[in-house]
Parts: sequence; structure tokens; C-alpha cells
Amino acid sequence: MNKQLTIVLFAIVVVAQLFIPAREVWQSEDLIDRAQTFKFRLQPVDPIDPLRGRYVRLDFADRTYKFDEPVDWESGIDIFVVLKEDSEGFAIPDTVLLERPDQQPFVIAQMSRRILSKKKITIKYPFERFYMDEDKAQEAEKILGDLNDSIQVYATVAISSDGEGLLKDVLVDGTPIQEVLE
Amino acid sequence: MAKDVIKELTRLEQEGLISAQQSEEIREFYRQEHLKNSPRQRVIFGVLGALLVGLGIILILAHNWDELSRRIKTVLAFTPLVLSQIVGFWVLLKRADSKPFKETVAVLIYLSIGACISLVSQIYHLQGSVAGLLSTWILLGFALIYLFRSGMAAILHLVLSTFYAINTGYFSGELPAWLYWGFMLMIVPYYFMALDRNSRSNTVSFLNWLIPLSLTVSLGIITDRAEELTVIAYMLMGGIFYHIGNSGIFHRTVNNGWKIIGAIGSMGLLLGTTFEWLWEALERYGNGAHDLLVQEELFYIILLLLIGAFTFMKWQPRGSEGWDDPIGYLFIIFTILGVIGIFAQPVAYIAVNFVALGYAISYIRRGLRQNDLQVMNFGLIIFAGLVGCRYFDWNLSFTLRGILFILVGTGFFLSNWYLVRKKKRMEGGDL
Repeated sequence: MNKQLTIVLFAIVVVAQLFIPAREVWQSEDLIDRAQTFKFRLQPVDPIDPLRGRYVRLDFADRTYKFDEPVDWESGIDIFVVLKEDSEGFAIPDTVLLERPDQQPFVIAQMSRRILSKKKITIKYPFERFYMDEDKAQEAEKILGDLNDSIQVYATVAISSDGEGLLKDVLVDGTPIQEVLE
Repeated sequence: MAKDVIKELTRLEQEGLISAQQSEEIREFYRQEHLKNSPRQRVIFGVLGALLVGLGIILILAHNWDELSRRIKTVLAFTPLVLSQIVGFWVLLKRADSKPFKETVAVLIYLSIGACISLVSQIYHLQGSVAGLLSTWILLGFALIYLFRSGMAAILHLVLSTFYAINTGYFSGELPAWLYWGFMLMIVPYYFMALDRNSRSNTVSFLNWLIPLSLTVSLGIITDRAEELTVIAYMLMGGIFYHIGNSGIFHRTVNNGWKIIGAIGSMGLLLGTTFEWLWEALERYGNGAHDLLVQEELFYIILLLLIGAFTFMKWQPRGSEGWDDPIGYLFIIFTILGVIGIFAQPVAYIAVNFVALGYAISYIRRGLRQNDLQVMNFGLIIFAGLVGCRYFDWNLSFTLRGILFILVGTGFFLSNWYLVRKKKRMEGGDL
């Protein structure tokens, strides 16, 4: 291969190598800027992702939904969860649909493999992993495990008008969990 | 080795065995050899250095950085990638002839891509799967193999692709496992180029082992519902490996991963299938447990049969030479047995035991005839393996089993002793 061609090809490859991750950054920043933020109640646990260090897998308190009529939906399919806020200001599912709803706000989630019954399903939200420093993730799990009912633990999630969700932070009684751990 | 020869030169010169000029020519030859070899060392150290620095960067950046703001973290995630890309341009412009530079920078860029995309995922808590991360990494990195002619990048590509196959094929990866075959096809041109350029190079030796190993680990991903059919696919692949190993491209047995993995894999699998389980499963298929014709595995078996037929035509030695080394025929025999097994389970089950026995005897015989201890012991190991397998499922009394084992052990001892003695006698005769 001649030298100039190699350099031109390398330049194209470099652009691609930078563009793909940069697009993720740009899309995420854009989402954070434009979206409305919701609070989701939590119950945490902690597995390991082999390639990405540690994270806390968030377990949402309000992730089940009960239908009036039995439904026969497969696990893993995309569902549209229309959200509303309860009396304490936390997001809870209002209705769950298979079609894109006209109402706002909604988030695109998945049917979890844990289907409780024909009428009751579990929602798998697309913002379950909260990445943290390895030691802190362990500590976080311990602290969050010991909490009692009087303390509120929740995640803040930016939700765009197209139903995309991006996890922003995890808070313990209004304080970011990073600060609680320091 | 070279040093020993040079030391001996003076003595040989004094004894009058070689002239002073010859002695100097030999010295010069080794000096040139040494110069030729030193880039290899620089490649190794360069690549090792790049690997360590790359891993170090990943470790430092991935941990203990919660205090930084999101923007700074993002800039840091891109820094190693941008820096290594700049070095990449410099190498292509100024050091395009230097293998150490090219290998080193290709590895640096390759690792920086992984660091960058996984750090961005962490910074924004993106929820992508491991399979998604691996496939993005592979697709963004593979061009480095060709642009920098980098063997290390090819090896990284292989390792990541194998991870991808394991994640998507054996665990619940969220992307289709068959993409693995596409990733493997991507390095085929490089492998041919490298073989063509210098089939004795370290890179080629590594690839000779890593490619068949990766395929062996990953072929299981074809398993859909008729898992027993995968066994036949593995046997076909073993045959193909063996033929490739016999193609005459590979100079030394140690560098010929294709042949060794093909031989050991085929024979191991043959012994494994001398039990009833496979044949019982095939009989179930014959009785309509699954509709065989619509199984995904069958598609791959047919594909492998076609490739096997091609490699067989091209590289299987014909005539008595072929029968001296009959592993190349095994995949055909086994496929026929598989078809028989669907209709007549006991026939195939008994036949496969005789086939294994036949292979054992064939290698023992050839070893004895050609005074080749390796070949004879290979046959004996197959034989012992067969006896060992039957030990588990034949209802023989313990005494009988004991006697059988003593006989096999004695056979081992006697035949080795016989061959060593024969060899010694012949060598004595030669002198």
C-alpha cells in the first residue's frame, strides 16, 4: 500500500474512532440539557461487569405494574411506560403500552424476564447501572443496605421527550451518594 | 548457539579445518544474523511497554476519579486515544519502515479505543451490553491490523472476537453470536499476507495457534436446539484443521497449531463418542424428536462439509501415504456414521468403537514399521483411552478390568522397549 493512501485511510479511521465515542458524549449531554428530571425510589444491589470495573445495579422500588386485564406480552420486548409523580414527588408508572403514547412524559423500557402474573409485570428500566469507583461501589451497597425506612434513597433520571432515559445521580436524603461516602 | 560456534572458530582454524577467510566469513554471517534479529527484540519490548502503559492508563483513569467533573473526565477519556493517534500519524509519516514503532503504536491505539469507549459509558452511566462494547471496539480497531501491518493488533482482534463469541454464544449476550464469523473473516487477508511474507515469523506462529484455538472455543455458538449435532460439526472442523496443518505451509510441528489441535481434537472427540449418548440422541432425531432438516446446526454442518471436502481434495495425501496418517479421513467416516446412527443406532455405536480401535492399531503399526516412537505412542494413547472409556460403561468384573489394564500397561512397556532396542540396533549397524 502506498504511503499517502495509508495516511488518508488512517485519517478516516481516526475520525471514526473519535466520532463514535464523541457521539455518545454529545447525545448524552444533549439529553441532560433538554430533558426533564425525575426521581425514582431505589433498593440497591452490586454485581460486577468484567470489562467496566464496578457499578451498583439499581433496583427500583416502583418497577411493577398491574394491569386491569390479563396481557400476554413476551419478556424482552420494548414497552412504553407513561410516568406520573406520586404525592411525594417520585416517578411511578401510570400506564404501560406497546405503542408510543401521545402523553408525556414516558420512557422506553423492556419487559423484564420476571413476569409476575398475567396481570402483573416487572419493568426493566434502561438506567439500572450506576458506575462508581470499585471500593466505593462496595461501600455504597453496604450503606444502602443498612438504611431504614425513614431515609429516602432515589435516583435522578433525565428523560427526554422521545422516551430516552439517562441516569444522572443517586441520592441519599437529597445528598449525592458520592458525598455521603466521603 | 551462535556464540558457541564463534568460540569454536579459533580452534577449528588452528586445527587447520577451516581457513582464516572462512572463519571471518562465518563471523560476519552471525553478525548479520544478529542485526537482523534485534528488531524482533525491540518489537517485543515496544509492544510489552505499550501494553503495560495502556493497561496502566486504563487502571488509573477507571478508578479514583469520582472527584473530577464530568467534562474533565470526558476530556481525559479521549486523551490517550488522541495522543496515540497523533503518534500513529507520525509513525506512518516518519517511521513507516520500522516494525517496532508500527507494532507499538497500533497496540496503543487499539487499547486506547477500548479505554475511551468504556470510560464514556461509565461517565454517562450508559447501559450498553458487554457484547455491544466489544463489537464497537473490534470494528473501530480492526483497520489498525492492516494500516500498521500489526500482528499484535491481529492478536488483540482475535482475543476480543473470541470474548465476543463467548459472551453472545454461551451467555445471554444481547447481540447475534454469528457476528463472530464476520470478525474472524476480517483477519483472514492479514493472515494470508503474513504467511506469504514470512511464514516463520513469531506473529504467524502465534496466529497458527490462536486462530484454531479461537475457532475451537467458539464453534459451540452454533448450538441451537439439536446440541448433539454440534459434536459432528466439531469433528468436521477437526478434520479441516488437520488438512490445513498438512498443507505444507508450516515448517515446524511446534508452530503448526492447526495440525496438533486438529489431531488431538479429532481423536479426543472420537473417544468421547464411543459412549452411547451421542448415538442415542441421533436415534431420537431419527425417530422425529426434532425435525432434523430445520435445525440451524445442520446449516453449519453442510457448510463445514463443503469446506472439509475442499481441504480434503487439496491436501489429503493419496494412496498408502494417506492411510499411514488416517486422521484426514476421520471426518468423512464420522459423518457417514452419523447418518447411519440416525437410522440404526446400535450399528453406528459399535462401528465407532471399531473405528477408534482401527485408528489405534494403524498408528501403533506405523510407529513400529517406521521406528517412530511418537507415532507409536500416539496409537497406544488412543488405545489406552478407548480401554479407559469402556472401563466406565462395560459391565465387566473388577478382576477382568484389572487384567485388561495390566495388559495395556504391559503392551505400552513392551512396545516402547522393543522399538528403542530396534532403533539402537539399527544405529549400531549404521556405524
